[in-house]
Amino acid sequence: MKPFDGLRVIDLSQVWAGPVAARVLADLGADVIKVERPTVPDRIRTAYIAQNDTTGNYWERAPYYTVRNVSKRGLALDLGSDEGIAILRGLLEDADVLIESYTPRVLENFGLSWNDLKEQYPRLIMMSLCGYGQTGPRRNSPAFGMGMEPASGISSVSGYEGEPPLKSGNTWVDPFAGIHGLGGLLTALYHRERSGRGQQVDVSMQEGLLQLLGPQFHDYWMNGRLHPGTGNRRQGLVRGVYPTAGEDAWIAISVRDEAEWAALARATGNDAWLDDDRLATMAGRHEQHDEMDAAIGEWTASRDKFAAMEELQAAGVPAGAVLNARELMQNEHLLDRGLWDAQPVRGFATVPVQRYFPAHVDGEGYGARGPAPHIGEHTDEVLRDLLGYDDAKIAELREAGVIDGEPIMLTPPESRAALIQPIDVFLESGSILEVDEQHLERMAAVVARIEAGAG
Amino acid sequence: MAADAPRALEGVRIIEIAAGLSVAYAGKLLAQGGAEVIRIEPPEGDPIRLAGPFPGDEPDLDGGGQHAFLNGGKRSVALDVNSEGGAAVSADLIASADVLLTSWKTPAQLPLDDADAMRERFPNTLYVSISPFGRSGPYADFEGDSHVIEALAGFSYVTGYPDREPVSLGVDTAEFLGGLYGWVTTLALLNARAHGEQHHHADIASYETAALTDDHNLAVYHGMGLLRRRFYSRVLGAYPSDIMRCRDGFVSVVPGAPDFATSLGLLIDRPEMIDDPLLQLPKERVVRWQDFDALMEPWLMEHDAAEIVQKAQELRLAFALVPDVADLAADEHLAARGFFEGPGGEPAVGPPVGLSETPLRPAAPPALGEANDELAASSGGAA
Repeated sequence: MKPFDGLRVIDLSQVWAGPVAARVLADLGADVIKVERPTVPDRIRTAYIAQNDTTGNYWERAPYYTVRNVSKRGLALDLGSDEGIAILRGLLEDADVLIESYTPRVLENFGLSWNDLKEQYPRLIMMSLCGYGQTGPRRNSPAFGMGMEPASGISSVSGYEGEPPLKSGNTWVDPFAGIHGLGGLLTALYHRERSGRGQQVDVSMQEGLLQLLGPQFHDYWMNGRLHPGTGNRRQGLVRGVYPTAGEDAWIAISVRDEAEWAALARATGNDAWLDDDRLATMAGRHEQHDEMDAAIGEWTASRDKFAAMEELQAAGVPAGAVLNARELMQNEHLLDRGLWDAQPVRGFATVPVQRYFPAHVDGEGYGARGPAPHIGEHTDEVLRDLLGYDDAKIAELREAGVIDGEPIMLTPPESRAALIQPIDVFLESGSILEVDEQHLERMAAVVARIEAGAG
Repeated sequence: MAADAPRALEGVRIIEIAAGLSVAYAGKLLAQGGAEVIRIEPPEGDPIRLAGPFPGDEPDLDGGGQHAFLNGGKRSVALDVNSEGGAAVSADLIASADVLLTSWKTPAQLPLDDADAMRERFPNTLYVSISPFGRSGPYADFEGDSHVIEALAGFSYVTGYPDREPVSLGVDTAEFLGGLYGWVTTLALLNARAHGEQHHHADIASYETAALTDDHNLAVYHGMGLLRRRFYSRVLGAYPSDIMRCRDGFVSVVPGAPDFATSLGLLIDRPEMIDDPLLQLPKERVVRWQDFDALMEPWLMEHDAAEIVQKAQELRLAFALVPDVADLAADEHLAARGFFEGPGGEPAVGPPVGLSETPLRPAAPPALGEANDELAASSGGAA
């Protein structure tokens, strides 16, 4: 039995943050129905197509889409039609949760805002996620996760010393916001268990991200101080990223207390630091950081990053090799813990798909339960089983274009051409290290280990 | 928000044994939902109390900013969990609770590193442990904060400039992700218990919660074999996507829009460029990003961030400001949402999500050991 067996979720959300929250519910047992407009499907389907091949139904072959939508059922529905709205409202009769990720004006225009729904569906929990939330002057401002790191002040405290604000190259922002939304949703669900009442969960991506700046806000309120980027350094810590043997190979080290400091000095052959009055306190070490970094870097430069990590950790020094995506996929610890499930990107290959609920609960994990749906893959069964429609009615709806249609914006030759990634440009600019010609073999080896129970 | 609004987690008791940022953040969010969160910390105070910032930089166990942010709404019991008496009080409190929240590495006279022993001793308490690398696996004994975890999770390799060392962000993302999942996991399992299913132990690794967010870089590797590197503040294969300079600071520029070419041509007062392939074709911008910058930069340098973003947003371009903490503290939108309205009229960072019926509520943090008399004494043990 899974925690949310029997829960029904209607997922109108697109792209990333909303779909991730819905996916966790699906992995935990809920029946999640992903609703897409047949002519204008989830736009994430057009991002980074497998093998850079945009022929045929390429929108069904995006690993990017797969990871966020496994375990769900797919319903094609034109919400621009009265019949489409009627079908959606019919589904809401027996639904527990509705998830959407538009700016507020969109569902208001469709007559599907919380105010439109709450009287008729008093048990419904509606999670609405957008950049800036459901109220306030910026409620309808468009936003994507990639812009929210700077828009939420995270970039203003990040970056190399003396350089402009910096955004990370990992789009962690969307799951960070989506999983915060999920926490709100689960809080609401717990309340409904006892009160019988649903409610709206208002998720502002910005307000989720602002949680990371607690101390910075308090320092501003208390002392008027701001904290522009200081690279890898942080007051009160000895911290850096140091070169190791190999091309573009690095190790991160972060020392937080006296025991770790002594361990670092001894492990890197710098025992003299422990008798150096200048380095007796964290503040003193901070002043001499350049000098220490040179010595630490000299020690790391001749070592393999994994060997250096093992050696430092064994000595009691927090250290981590800097991994690229291939090394992350192959990481022994993550494989051993079972972070990945083997799932097909149909028409391409079986890929390692990460769990978005990675907790081990009484020795059990909650992973992907089945492939991400094609557009409208489960339309017929959903309409038949949940709404009692017969074949004739389904055929009629299909004929009328309510539950079927070509994704016309995705099919013209120029649309296909535009989605082919200019890999040679990436190589030339240095935004990628390489194209790994063996990536399919390496991925298959990892998939084989996952299927064999990893470990 | 109405002060008399119902609390979703009313009647749920959580014991938090202090163990770093992740555990504290999970406990804070549960407290905001209305749970009774009792924080057990050392008699001299937990390190979060000493992390500052402090008014005028004068250390104050009860007055730190990190403490205010992470421990709001909790009770505090100060005792030594390594002492016999302290362990006895802790055990009584845990037995009385729905959830125990800590790290399995916390030194204590309790079998925190043995889930079976904990289950035997506390059969009615869900034990949620959050640690950097989890209870199992080859890195189980490793130590690390966000800087170290993010290196191993793929963040650092892709963050920074191509000709410089990888860099971590100025916030503790990985540890907060661990705490976020501690919150969500606790809630999922409390919901399961409401249906009659009691779980006993959840093992959360902040490393996994950080690694799972890296699907951009994993997906381009899985699908195409591309190994992404750090490259300024940009997304691979989409342009413009960067933090760009303007006359009075910076703006965040992103490519998504219903009709990017028209919107951008109108934005930069170059309508004759709307039909140019550089604006019309997304890939053209990726390939010829220097040309795009040459078109864009002069206009940006003649305008201020506020007017750029306002005009862009009117044109449905998802451009954004790059505010610092002072800008955000004075932001009209956040003020209109009451986001910084803290307890007692003091400013505070508001909750991460809004609930219409049972709002999460920030509250003041506890003085060290304020609940000792009430809770430790009533347990029968000696604090």
